[in-house]
Amino acid sequence: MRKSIYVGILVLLIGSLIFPGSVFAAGKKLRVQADAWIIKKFPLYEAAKKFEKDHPNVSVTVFKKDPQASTQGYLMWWKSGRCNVDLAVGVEAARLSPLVEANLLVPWDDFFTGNFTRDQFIPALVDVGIFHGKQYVLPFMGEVMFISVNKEMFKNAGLVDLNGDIIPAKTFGELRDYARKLTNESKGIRGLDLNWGWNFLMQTYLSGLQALRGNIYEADNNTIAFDSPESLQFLTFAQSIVRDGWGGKGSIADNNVPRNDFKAGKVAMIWTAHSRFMEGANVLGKDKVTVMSIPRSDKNGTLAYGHCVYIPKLSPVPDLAKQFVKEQMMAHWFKAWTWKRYAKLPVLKRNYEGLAYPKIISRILAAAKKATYCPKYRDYNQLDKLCQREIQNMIMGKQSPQQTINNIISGEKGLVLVRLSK
Amino acid sequence: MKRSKIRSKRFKENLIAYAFMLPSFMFLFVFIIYPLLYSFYLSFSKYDFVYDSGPTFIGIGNYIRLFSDRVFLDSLRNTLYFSAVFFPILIIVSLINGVALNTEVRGYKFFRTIIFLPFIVALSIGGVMWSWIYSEHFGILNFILRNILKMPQLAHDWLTDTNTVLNCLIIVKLWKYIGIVTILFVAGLGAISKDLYDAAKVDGAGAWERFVFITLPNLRGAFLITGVYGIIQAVKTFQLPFVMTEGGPGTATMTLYFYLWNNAFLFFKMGYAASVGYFTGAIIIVLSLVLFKFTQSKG
Amino acid sequence: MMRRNLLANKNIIVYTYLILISLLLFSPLLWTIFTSLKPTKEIYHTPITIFPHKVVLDQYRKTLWQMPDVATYFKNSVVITVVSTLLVTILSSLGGYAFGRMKFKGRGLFLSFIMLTITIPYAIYLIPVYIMENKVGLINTNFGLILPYVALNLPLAIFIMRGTFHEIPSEMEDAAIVDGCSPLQTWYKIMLPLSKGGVAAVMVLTYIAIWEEFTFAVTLMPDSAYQTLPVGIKFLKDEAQSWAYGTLSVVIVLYILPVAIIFLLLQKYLIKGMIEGALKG
Repeated sequence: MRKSIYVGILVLLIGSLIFPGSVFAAGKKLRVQADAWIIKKFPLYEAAKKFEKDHPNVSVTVFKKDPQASTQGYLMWWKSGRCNVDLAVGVEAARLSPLVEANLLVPWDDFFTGNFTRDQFIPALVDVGIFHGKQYVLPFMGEVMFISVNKEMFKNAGLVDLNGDIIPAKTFGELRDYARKLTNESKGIRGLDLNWGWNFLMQTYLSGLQALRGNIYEADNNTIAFDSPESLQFLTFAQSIVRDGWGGKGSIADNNVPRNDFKAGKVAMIWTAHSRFMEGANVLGKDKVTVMSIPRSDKNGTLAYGHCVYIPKLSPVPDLAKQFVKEQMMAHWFKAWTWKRYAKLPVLKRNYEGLAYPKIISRILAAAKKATYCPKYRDYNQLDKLCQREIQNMIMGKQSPQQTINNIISGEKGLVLVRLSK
Repeated sequence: MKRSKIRSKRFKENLIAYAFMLPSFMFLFVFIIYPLLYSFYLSFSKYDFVYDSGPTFIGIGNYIRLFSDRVFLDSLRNTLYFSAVFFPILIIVSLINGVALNTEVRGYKFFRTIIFLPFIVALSIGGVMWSWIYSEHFGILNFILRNILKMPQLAHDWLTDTNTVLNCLIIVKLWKYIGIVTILFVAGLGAISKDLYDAAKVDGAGAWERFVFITLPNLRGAFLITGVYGIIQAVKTFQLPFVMTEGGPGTATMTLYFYLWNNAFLFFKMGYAASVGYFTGAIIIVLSLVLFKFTQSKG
Repeated sequence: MMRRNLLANKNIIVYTYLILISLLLFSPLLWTIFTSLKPTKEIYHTPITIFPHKVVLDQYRKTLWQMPDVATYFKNSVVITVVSTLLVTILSSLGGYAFGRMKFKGRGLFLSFIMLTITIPYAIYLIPVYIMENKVGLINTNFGLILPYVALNLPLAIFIMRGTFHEIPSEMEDAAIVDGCSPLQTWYKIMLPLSKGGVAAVMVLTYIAIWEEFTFAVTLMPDSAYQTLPVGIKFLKDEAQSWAYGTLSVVIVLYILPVAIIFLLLQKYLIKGMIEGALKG
């Protein structure tokens, strides 16, 4: 009895040492860590299996990371010389600035050879990954800030022209008016939801600022113009929509509220990434959904961003990782799969062949050409958190737009906000 | 026995005792005593874990900075509010539960289990479950209010409205912890000898008098334990903001603990985080001391 | 006659109250159990249904067989909890024995120290532990969590075991010494079997505390492959896509089951152990 207890304990202790380490066979290992939502919206598991089939001595593991904390986590880990990932997938270039600044990433410049030369990519989507003249991170998909609208509701509110196309709002005043007209309290329908959740707030704010101002930066081309009249105008607009009951604030608690409510026919317009239109179309019907440019953005531009792949210098297999991206993540089937369901823009020109909604695609790509990007500051992630707090407080009605701006400006002190090129 | 023999015997006893204590003590030293001291030192230093190679001593700079930090002040306010509402309800309801269960009516063991059940649900998991219940469109709470009780005006966006969100978190924490505190009171009440009650009954004391003069004084130990436990749970609010609201909307559910964690593991400002931590600890100790004095002096 | 009425009244009040409070506390769990038995379409149906119209095991099948993550989280939780609980039980039985039965220098000091550690919030330990473990490379390893967990749960465990050992009459111990047993043998053969209540209390409380621990787990195991269940669940929620609620309810049900069973079996011991260890101490 005594002996068996000791043996049992010994087995457990040894067992816990081994779990979850894996003592696997010889051959190369490729560890791919992606944001959880990316694993859902991109066929990474299939891509991994296909890659393994094509390369029998390679085993690919795909596992999750938390988008909110991973950049700082990676920064800390890789600086101490510890690394357990070969290919990281997720988050925009701006958020990866600290990794670039700390010189932890493998550049992708040697990627652009053969069938993948630079002219085959869409510069508007890919160039954002260039820091100090080198491509340190590679966007593998693109998103552009647009307003996805429910055509049926526009029709019912008389906001369509003789051809049945929607009449786009040309100014923010008109947009506000649309929101009012499209709100139907008795049916529980809201006019306009902007996405103020943690993963969209900066994009939403900056796209509004860009649309109104044509340039998110002050004259020094470095500092975000939080203190400009256009910034105040946009924030006031955003707060008033919610206060007057023509738009929701659910996105603050749950990022998915705008898209879920759009699919459920509870909101007429959502100001978020363009890709939501596809989800709406898949549920509500092909001709029931379309995209509308943010007012003034046709002239002043909107905001585009793209999630990136990046490779730590500490990885033993950077070429294998790049090969995986070339063969699988840039493959037509991969991009077609995700476009059909989630409208994530491909970055390779040839991947657009045969994709649905060509008209909308050309509009979005045209907008991307004029679009701005989230600034590549070392402390961008901290700035993001600061803005989240203040703007969310404002949307909740707890402080005025001017107070919000003041708080952001004073909160910026102590953060390193210098653009790391472009 | 000769003096030296006595001394060597005692020395041997001490040695044996230390040997039994040693393994535990090693753990305690590495993971509790040392960290306690090191954090204390950190709270007086500046240490950005990512960019600094080590901590730099800056005196009470961190502590001073706390009071001009709006977010810290918000978290202090939220934590104090949370404690002020959570603690009394926890103790009073659990005490009533304990008394009710102590009557040992038929099937009391069943009720005891049911009341205890929420406690064994991990707080983070319970938090996820409740955020679904509170969901504005998909949640069962609003559904019941709108469709079953026919009171749609009460249906709310519980977790997005800054007026209700903190109270909603308090309810979740109460839901979980009433179970264990009830059991503590049950144990405490059960330890009171029945003879005391019988003697009082013979003396003609009514139920209320028996409660005030026999039950309450004999629960002093239980009050101390449940009180300290309740204070710790109240101030220690971390998981619910983390899992349910991320401290939002805005700073409505930012608590001291959550702010501590954010500073340490999101922003990697270890020194500042440590000062928030010690401040929180000081609050707990002060409140516990107040409680201690209170239970000792209860006539 | 009067007495009879009073008694009946009292019972009715007690029953009413107990039924009400039990209903209130149990209904969220009931809702979760119902959800876990519904087909996915019904979970997302508007208007919401309370009782399942169709009882199916779809959610269980999906979660256990089609979601490797959940199984991983479970496995991690089990390994860490079991090993930590065993270590805590062994070490606290040894330590509690010294505290409860032996007189030695510094006993009072140790005691107040233990009381102090119970009141200080965990997060204060977390920062240096994190820094230490990062240096040594223990982040994202099982031992990285097990070791601090043992340390965190030892104070209370030692306190309970001390109380339990304290209650044992010294004749038993003296008899063993007279028989020529070394302290270790005395401990193993005589004291331990008599302290079953305390051991049970320690095991249950420690098991529950570690099984559900979140703060240390989320900090020291940031990578999803190694996470424990409470942490993994949070990230499942963030994805909140159509399958999440079904899976969530299954996870909650499966999560409660082991602990509920243990509690049901050991209820008696647990309360006895708490009375002896915590309250009389």
